[in-house]
Amino acid sequence: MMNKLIVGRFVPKDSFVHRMDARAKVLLSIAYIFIIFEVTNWLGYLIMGLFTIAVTSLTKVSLKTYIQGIKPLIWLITFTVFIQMFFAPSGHVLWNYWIFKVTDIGLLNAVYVLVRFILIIMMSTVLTLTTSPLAIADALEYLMKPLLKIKFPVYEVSLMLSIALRFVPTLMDETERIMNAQRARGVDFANGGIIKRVKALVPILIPLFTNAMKRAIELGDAMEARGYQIDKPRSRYRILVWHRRDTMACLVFGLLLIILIIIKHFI
Amino acid sequence: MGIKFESVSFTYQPQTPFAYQALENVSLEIPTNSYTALIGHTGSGKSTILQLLDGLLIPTEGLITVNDCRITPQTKQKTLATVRSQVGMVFQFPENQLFEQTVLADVMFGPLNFGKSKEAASRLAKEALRLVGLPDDLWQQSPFELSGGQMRRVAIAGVLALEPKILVLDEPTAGLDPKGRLEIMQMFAQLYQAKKLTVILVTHQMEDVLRYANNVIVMDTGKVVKTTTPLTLFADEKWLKQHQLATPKVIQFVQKMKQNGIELTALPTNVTELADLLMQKIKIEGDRQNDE
Ligand SMILES: Nc1ncnc2c1ncn2[C@@H]1O[C@H](COP(=O)(O)OP(=O)(O)OP(=O)(O)O)[C@@H](O)[C@H]1O
Ligand SMILES: [Mg+2]
Repeated sequence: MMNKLIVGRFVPKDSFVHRMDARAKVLLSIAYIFIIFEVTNWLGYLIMGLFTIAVTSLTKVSLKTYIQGIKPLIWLITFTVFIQMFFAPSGHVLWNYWIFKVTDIGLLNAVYVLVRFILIIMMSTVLTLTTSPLAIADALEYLMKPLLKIKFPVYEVSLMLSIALRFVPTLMDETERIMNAQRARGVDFANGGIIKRVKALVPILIPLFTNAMKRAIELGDAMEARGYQIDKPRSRYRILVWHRRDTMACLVFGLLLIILIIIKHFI
Repeated sequence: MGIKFESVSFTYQPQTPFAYQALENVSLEIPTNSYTALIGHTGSGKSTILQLLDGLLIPTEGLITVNDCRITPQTKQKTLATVRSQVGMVFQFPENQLFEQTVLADVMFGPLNFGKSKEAASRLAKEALRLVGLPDDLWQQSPFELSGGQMRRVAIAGVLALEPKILVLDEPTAGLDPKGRLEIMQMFAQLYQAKKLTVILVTHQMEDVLRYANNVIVMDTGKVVKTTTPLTLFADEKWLKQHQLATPKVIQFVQKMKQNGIELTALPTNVTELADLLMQKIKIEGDRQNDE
C-alpha cells in the first residue's frame, strides 16, 4: 500500500533537472505556485500545462510515474473541486437543489481548481523525484539563513528536517515489516469492522514507536560521540553549487511569468 | 501435499520507477516433514520466498501451493488467513514484533488471534516459553526490559505457541552468542523430530546447514540454482567456489586429510561424527598394523 506513494520519493537519475541546484529547484517550485495563481484564463492554463509537461520530460522519468503520483490524492482533489462547485457565491444559476447551487462561475472555478491542483502536484513531484531529501534540507537551510537575524534556530531546524526526511523511508519499511510479523501471528488487517481494525493498529504502533525511540537515542549518542554540539557553527560535506543552468532555469521561469502577464492583461 | 512453487515470479513495487524483480521463474518443492535449508547470497530472494509461502506477499506470476491452499496472482488478501494459520514464521530480528505489557501476554497474542480460548492460549504460551528456555520469573515482566537474546526467545516462543505444522525460520540466530545459537538450533531440531514438522531454515551458517538440514535449496539473484542434500552440496568443492559459498569446517578438515592421503569411510555432519569416524579409522589402521 505504502509502496504506491510516488510524491515525496527520490529517483536517482542523471538529467538536466537532477543536476540543478536544490536551492534553485526549491525556489522555482515555490515561484511556480505563485505563478499559477496569477493565471485566470484558458490560454494561460494551456501554456502552464505544456510548460509543466516539458519540465517533466526533462527529468527522464516517465509521464506515467507523475500520473501515478496524482492517484493517491484523488479524494482530496475531488473533495475540493466539489466544494468549489457547490458553494460558489455568485453567478448565473445552472442547477439548484436544497442548499446546493451550481453556478456558471462555480463550475468554471471548479475546473480551474482541478487543473491547478494537478499541475501543482506534478511540479512538486518533479522537485521530490529529482532532488535527494538531504539536498532539499540543505537548500531550505540556506534559504532560511536570513531568519538567523531574528534568532530563529535555522541550523537546528534544518538538522531536524534532514533527520526526519532521512528516516521516512526507514520507518515505512519498518512499518511494513512489523505489519507482516503481526499478520503472521494472526492479526487480520483486511477483515472486520472499524473497531477491530483500529485495535489491530496497537501491535503495529507500539513496536514502531519503541524502535523509533531506540533509534533516536542511538543516533543522539552517535552524534555526541563524534563531537556534535548544538549552537556551534557547522562545516558542511555537501556543498551546493549554483551553475549556469540554474540561472537559465530562473530566466525561463521569468519569461513564462512575462508571457502569462501579457496574456492576462492584453488578450 | 507439502509446499510447491510453480514458475513463480515476484516484483516489488511493480509499475513504478522502483520496480525490482526479486524472483524470476522459481520452481521448487519442499516435501512434508523435511528440514530444508534455503541458502544464497544476501539479496538473492530468500526472505521473499518465505513471505510468499506465508501468504504475506502475493506472486506476480505463477502458482504456490501450501498443503491444500493455492495462492495465485488473483488470490485476495482476505483468504490468506488459512495459509497463515498453518505456517509459523520467525522473521529476521523477530524481537521487533513485541508489544504487549508482559512476556506471557505477548506469547499468548498469536494463539488468541487464531481463535484459541484464554486458558488454551495461556497453556500453549507457557509450554512455548519453557521450550525456548526462558526462566519463569521473567514471564510477568515487560518484554522491553529483557536483554536482546531474551527478547529473541520470547519472539520465537510467540511463533511456537501457534503449534504450526510448517515452521519457517529466517536467520533465527543472527546476532546471538554462540551458546544461545546452539541452544536455539538444538531446540528447533528436537521439535522437528518430536512433532514431525516441516522446517524451512534460511541461514548463512553452513555449519548449521550441514548439521541440521536434510534438503538444501541454493538461490542466486532471484533464481533457484540447485536443489540437493547437504552432503552432496558440500562434497562439490568446485561448484561451491564458483558460487562463493563457504565449506563447513568439518568438511574442510576431511578434505585436508584427503590431500594428505588419509581417506575416511563417510562424510561427517558435525564434530562428534568426525571424531567417531577418526576413531574408526585409527582402529582399522591399528588392526592392520597389528596383523602385519
Ligand atoms: N520492500 C521491498 N521493496 C523493494 N525491493 C525489495 C523489498 N524487499 C526486498 N527487496 C529487494 O529484493 C531482493 C531480495 O530481497 P530478500 O529480502 O528476499 O533477500 P534475502 O535473500 O533474504 O537477503 P538477506 O540474506 O540479506 O536477508 C533484494 O535485492 C532487495 O533489495
Ligand atoms: Mg533475508
